[in-house]
Amino acid sequence: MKSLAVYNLKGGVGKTAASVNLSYLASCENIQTLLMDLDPQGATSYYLRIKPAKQINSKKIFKKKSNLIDRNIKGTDFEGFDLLPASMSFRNFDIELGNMKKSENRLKKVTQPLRKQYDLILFDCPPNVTLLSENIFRAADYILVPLIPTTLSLLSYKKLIVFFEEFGLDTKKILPFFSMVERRKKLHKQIMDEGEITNLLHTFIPYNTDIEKMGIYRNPVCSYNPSSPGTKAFVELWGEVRKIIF
Amino acid sequence: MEKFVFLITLDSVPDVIPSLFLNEFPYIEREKTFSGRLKYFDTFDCKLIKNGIRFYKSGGVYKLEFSDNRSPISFKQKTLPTMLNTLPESISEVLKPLVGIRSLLPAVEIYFNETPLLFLNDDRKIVVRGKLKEFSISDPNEVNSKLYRLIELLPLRGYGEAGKTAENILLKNLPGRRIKNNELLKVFFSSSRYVSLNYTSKPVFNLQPQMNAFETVILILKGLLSVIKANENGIIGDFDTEFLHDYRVAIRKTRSVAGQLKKVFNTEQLKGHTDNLKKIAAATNNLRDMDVYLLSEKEYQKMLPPNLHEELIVFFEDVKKKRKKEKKLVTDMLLSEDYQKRMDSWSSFLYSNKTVLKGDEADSRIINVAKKYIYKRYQKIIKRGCNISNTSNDEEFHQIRINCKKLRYLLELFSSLFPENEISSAIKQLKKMQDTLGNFNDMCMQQEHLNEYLYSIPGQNSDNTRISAAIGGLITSAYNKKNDCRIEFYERFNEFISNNNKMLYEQLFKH
Repeated sequence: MKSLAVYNLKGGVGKTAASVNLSYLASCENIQTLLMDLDPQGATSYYLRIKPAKQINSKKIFKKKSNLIDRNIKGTDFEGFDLLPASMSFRNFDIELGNMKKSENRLKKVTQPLRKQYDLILFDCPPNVTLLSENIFRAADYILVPLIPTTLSLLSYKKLIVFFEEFGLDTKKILPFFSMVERRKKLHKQIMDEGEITNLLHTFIPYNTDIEKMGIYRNPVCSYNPSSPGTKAFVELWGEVRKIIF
Repeated sequence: MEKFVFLITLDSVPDVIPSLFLNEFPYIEREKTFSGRLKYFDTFDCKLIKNGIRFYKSGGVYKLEFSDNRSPISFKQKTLPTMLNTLPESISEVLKPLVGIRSLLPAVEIYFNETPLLFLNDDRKIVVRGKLKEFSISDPNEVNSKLYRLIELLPLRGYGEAGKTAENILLKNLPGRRIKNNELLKVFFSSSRYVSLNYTSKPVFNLQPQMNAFETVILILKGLLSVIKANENGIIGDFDTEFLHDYRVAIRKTRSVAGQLKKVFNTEQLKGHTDNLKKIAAATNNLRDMDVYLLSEKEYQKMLPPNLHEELIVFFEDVKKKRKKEKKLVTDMLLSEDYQKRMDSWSSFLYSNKTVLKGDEADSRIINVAKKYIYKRYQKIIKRGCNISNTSNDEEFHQIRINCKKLRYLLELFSSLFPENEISSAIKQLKKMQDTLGNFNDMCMQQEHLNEYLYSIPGQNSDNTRISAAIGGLITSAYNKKNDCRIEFYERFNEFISNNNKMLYEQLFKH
């Protein structure tokens, strides 16, 4: 079983679109996939037409032998692709984790039993740096970081590297890729051409209205519009990621 | 998540079925119907389907599906599967424990129509996947073709409640019943010409101690006759070697029981029949010998150094030629009028009890008769075994082997009369000794046949000299193994006459 987090300290960078489409593409290849929507906003769950989970007790979810995750998993409309829907109670994760011993490895431990059921687990992360984020960094084999080619976005990426170094985490796990790219914008082109980012994936996701329409269709763009440039970019991205993680 | 399968007992399925669910599910989507044929494969004794494995071909693709959690496997190949070595290695490894040396036969071909139904909630999210299916064993367009209709429901993970709701709607509104996943397939299999769901080479008889000896033995012999008959077509079709093996064992058991319990019948009347069976079995001896050779081709190779392997190929080519001739002789016999007459006569002997003359023990209780003959055979083996020494010849071992077989048949056929644990412990103990004696006998036969073959190799040229060397190597190997079996026999026999085993036999079978 492999695990992959999709993370950026900054919101609105195409994180959820990447999580949903990469999970979908993996399941199309018979890779049993679980996507965990850890962002209390629940955008991922909305895209997949799954209602937020009501009863997840954030206090109990990280306890030893807790089966709360397993009990709340829902099948999406696509075979081999399941989702742990977001819950508003996830906003309390940091408080609960803060009260626990060895709090930085809790997520890794509670997802351990799921390894038998799935070939791939994806974490869709909330945009912040908290104890939960640290848990995700420790639990995931790789961290995909969507970056809009802007100065602010690069700044947040650099902060992530600093965080990893300070906490003794392996920066090689970080796999950045450009997202929501508009090549006709001078700044985008300039930043992308500078080539300062380590481990940068070759594929970039263009800014594409078909991807934006995921909120209307409430499905992965790769499923409702297979010929869209957005779909093609995600297929290429998945191919690149799969080679690295499997 | 378990699949809910509902068999509809209506002659026609109304198109309104999806509308039955609309009160509880805001949206029901009916997808395009597709149809096709499924060609199922299984062993003669249906090992796959009985163990929850469905192996079929549909649209040029072979598929293996499992009742447990294993994921289905698909593969393509141009040729029809028969023996395991006709399949890709990854597939034959999965099937090997169940199929072994049996062949895969075309069990049944099923026509189907399938219409997927999607049950959606108010977010238009799929919560239950359904399938409306129609099956028939012959072309559904034919007038007399019987159609079976069912609905399958599979709730998505986390939507169990929606699944239950859909199940209840079906149960309340449609005539029919819930069935197990493989139930319908078994109905189809039961009409197969090539495989048999009920077949077992070792029929189990549910006997009661107070049953009449005559009637019980007739019941057992009838069971064995059905095993003999069931294997005839497979021998003629030459599907695999197990048909002949089972056929011969059933005849041997028949002769053994009839011979050992002869006082139940009139000896004179019985003798004609058992002599017939003896002749029939003897006519298949050579074919079985050839089968045994070919089944152990790989072991033969291991016995010889690699530089003589090519010579072995010549030898096995000869065996294959001889087998072909023997197979024809056996087929001719099975299709002959004479054979039919002999088997019909045996069948009428068993099925028209009134003309059968009874012997002295016919009206005894079966438990007493079974105990008497089992214990008698046990004592005979002990007596013969104790006389075995280093100077004993092969024939003396052969006699013990025959007696052990006779005892084994009695223990197995009458096993339901005795406590399960004790009888299986007695059988297990005996089996160990039989295995050693069986190996000993195989080596004797090999030595004899290989010697015959050696003397039949013509002239002297370098090729034939090398073939002779290979056969000589095999004879030496057989001789050495035979001697190992002799030593092993003493160990096995000592276990057989141990106090524990003695007490077991006395407690179970001594009057």
